Amino acid sequence: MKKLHFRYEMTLNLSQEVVDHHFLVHCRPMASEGQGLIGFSCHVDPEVALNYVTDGFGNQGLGGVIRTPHDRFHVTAEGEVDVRVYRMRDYHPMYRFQTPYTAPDERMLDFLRETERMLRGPIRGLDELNFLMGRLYGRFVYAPGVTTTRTTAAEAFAGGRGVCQDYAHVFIGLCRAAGIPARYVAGMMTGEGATHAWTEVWTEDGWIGMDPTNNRFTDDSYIRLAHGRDFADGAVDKGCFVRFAIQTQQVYVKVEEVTGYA
Amino acid sequence: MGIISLEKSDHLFWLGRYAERVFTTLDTFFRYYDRMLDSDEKAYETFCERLNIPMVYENKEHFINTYLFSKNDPNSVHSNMLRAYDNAVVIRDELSTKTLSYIQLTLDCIEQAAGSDAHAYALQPVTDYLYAFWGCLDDHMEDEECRNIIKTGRYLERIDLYMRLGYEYKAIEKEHNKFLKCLHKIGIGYNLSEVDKLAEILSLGEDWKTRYYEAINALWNIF
Amino acid sequence: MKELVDHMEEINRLMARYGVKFGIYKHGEFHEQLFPFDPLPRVITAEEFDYLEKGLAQRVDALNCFLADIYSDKKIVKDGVIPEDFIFSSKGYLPQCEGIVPPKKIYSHISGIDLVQGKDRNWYILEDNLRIPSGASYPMIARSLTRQASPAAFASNHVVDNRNYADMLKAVLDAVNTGGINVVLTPGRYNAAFFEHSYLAEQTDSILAMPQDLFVENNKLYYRRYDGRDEQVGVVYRRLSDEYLDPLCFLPESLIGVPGIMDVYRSGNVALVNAPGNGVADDKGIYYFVPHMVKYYLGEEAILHNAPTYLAFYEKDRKFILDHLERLVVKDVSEAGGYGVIFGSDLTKEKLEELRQIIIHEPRRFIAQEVIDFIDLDIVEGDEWVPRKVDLRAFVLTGETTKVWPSGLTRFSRNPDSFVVNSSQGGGFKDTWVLSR
Repeated sequence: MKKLHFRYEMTLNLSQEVVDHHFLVHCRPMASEGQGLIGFSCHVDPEVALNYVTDGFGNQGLGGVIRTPHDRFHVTAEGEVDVRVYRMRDYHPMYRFQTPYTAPDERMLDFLRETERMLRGPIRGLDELNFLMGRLYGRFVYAPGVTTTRTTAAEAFAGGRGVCQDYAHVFIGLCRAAGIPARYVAGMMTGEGATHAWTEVWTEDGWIGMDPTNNRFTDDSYIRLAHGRDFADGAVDKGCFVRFAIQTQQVYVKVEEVTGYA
Repeated sequence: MGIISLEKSDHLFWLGRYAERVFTTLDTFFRYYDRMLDSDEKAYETFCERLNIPMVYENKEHFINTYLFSKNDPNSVHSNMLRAYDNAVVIRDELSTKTLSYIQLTLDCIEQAAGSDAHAYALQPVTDYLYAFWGCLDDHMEDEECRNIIKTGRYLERIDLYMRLGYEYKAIEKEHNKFLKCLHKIGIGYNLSEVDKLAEILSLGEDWKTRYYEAINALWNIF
Repeated sequence: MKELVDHMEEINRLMARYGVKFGIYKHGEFHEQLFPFDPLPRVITAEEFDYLEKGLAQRVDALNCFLADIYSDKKIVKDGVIPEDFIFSSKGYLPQCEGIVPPKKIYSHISGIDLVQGKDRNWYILEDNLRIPSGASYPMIARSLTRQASPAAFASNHVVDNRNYADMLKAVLDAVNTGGINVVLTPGRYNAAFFEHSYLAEQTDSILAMPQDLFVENNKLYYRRYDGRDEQVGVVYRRLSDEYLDPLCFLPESLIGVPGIMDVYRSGNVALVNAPGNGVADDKGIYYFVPHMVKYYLGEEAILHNAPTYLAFYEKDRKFILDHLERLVVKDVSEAGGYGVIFGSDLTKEKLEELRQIIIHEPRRFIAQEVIDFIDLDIVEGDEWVPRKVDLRAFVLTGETTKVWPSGLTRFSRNPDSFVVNSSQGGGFKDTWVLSR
């Protein structure tokens, strides 16, 4: 069990002023099993009222609307979280089925069948899943800037490179194809950088976090923010506005363990 | 009913303007048409000049066919009626299907008259339908504010056309009074100083013409 | 009937006058065209309608129970009546709607149920439409016009008046209204059914709104008035597809829609008619299970029957489909309207084999049905009366109770050899008379 302090910053620069900008940010760690929120604050600039919004997946976001013209949107959130290794039990059958983001192509299925041959049997439990994750880690290269938020698992797998979102989508696609329900999780992990994404697989013991980008099971250094069938469901930031503008987004995340905590 | 958005108030206003434009320009057209038949072949040039329509017509026949029926001529009667229809069809809930049907009938009539060689005869129902449209509107449109918005558009257009087409001062004055009555009853923002300026010019009586361009500009700057 | 045929021309002239049109896109351009009307009505006897009414209300009640169950406890899945595959991998299932309890727990307020009558005189359900079924406005206006053109036909035939559709619809909207005005939300002038949107708004005293006229403030929905006195909206009869309703919830790249409307809906501060997510219940695959739903939720036997249907998903059915493909009609469950419907009898040997392979590869995607030899009704073509295939879309409205509109949209195919009567593929409509005795 760890106590983690986190800071989340997001800046959206717009090439032109926009109005009626609606946003929904999932930057508040979800109060759930294994994750207790001790303190939390969030500010947006331009400053507007924030509402808590719950969606169909059980995620809680902060929503609002900026009606006045602006060419920059900034969010800062900060807080402390108690984290333990969790076993969430909110099963839902939708996580059995592929989505356009995760649907495997023949290449991915070949890879899965190959893995099953090596295992001499179907993938059923954590050991086999761990082996599958290891194989994926071995053939997929972490490379920022090659893929976009619209890249599908099949596309990313064919290119062999991508970021955490792609690792998660490919792994979810493989798990579901093997008959294991899996879901996408967006969150943060100890260190400095951007937000992170990983996978949860459904087992007899509940949901278990697996991080294919780092080839490891998740532990108490991971903070969950949102989940869903894929990236589109569990996106950390969503927004829309009136008028046309080119957007550039920067995200900065810092998570540190608060020491002296028993 | 009578709960309308900015966009709908716009449609009401422009429906009033385009329906009126078709009505009055058609009426005037036939007076010029009459002159063109025997005495003055080039009468249409005066017509276009007065209405500030670019002279794109080659001769009398070309003018008659194009100005009445061409969809490609943005100043044609047909084009203006299409714009009236476009504004009307999206506010069926305010107008009522019955009232809207007269706009449809007008448009259909213009479309069907295109092939006729007796233009005045074939287009006679246009005037009838438009009269029926205004009558039906008064009868069926429940909301007074909506009625006033559409009439504000109608009278504004009428003053503009009457001034340009050289109608008698008396006629202009009468439409101006109707216009002011409607204008004061609507919730759309307008430019009060321009309204006052127009009133001041028109208070000169027949001499308003000495400030013709000023008057036209004031009218256009009200909204 | 003779008077109706004699006045055919007048009726069609009136249709044009009142702008009874639907829009289609040809070569990327929008055109409005008249919906061809045939003056010979379909006649349904009082006794027959009584049977249909009971069966349709039962079916729609069961479908509403199913939707409420799927977006909450999912008992029907847990009890093994319907496999998860037919629900959670359906395009119509929207997880964004999980846990939402709509006002009065009604999901399908306006249901368009498509039926055909076989030559054996039995009625068969072809399809349920629980998202935004359209078409009620045409028979509504047709009746008021035929009554003008041929009053004598109605005086002597004891036809139940169907001009109450607007009142029925308004009662439904009022029943679920959470406080505020009633709004009909249209995607805009260039939608195929824009005539209907504007006509129903007028007839139900609702406000016809475009997406940009609505906005969310403090978890409530408002209609933006031109003079700044904004009106709260209590119910939205929306004719905009689920995925375009709210860019924050569904398609982020959607330029239409009302951002935040789903949150207001989730909070119970506005009713959406019909509920988003209904597509899970009118999927061509779920159709197979509707009689099971009737039994499961209502404890009754289904009064109205489906056309005999086989599910490629079940091995036994799949085998049957593959063996009898040449006489079956195969439907792609992911396609709407008359698209993705393939008659085995139309295919060459090679094409049949190709289809077999696709079915084997993607069994979840297909259902197959026996081709029902359904009845012909005469239509007037020139001076002749000629038989054409017809179906019936019945409109079932659920507010305080479930009621069936004593009329419906009878569509006929243009082509004498065609069984497809979808208006998006040509074809016209007839008035549907329900007799009072």
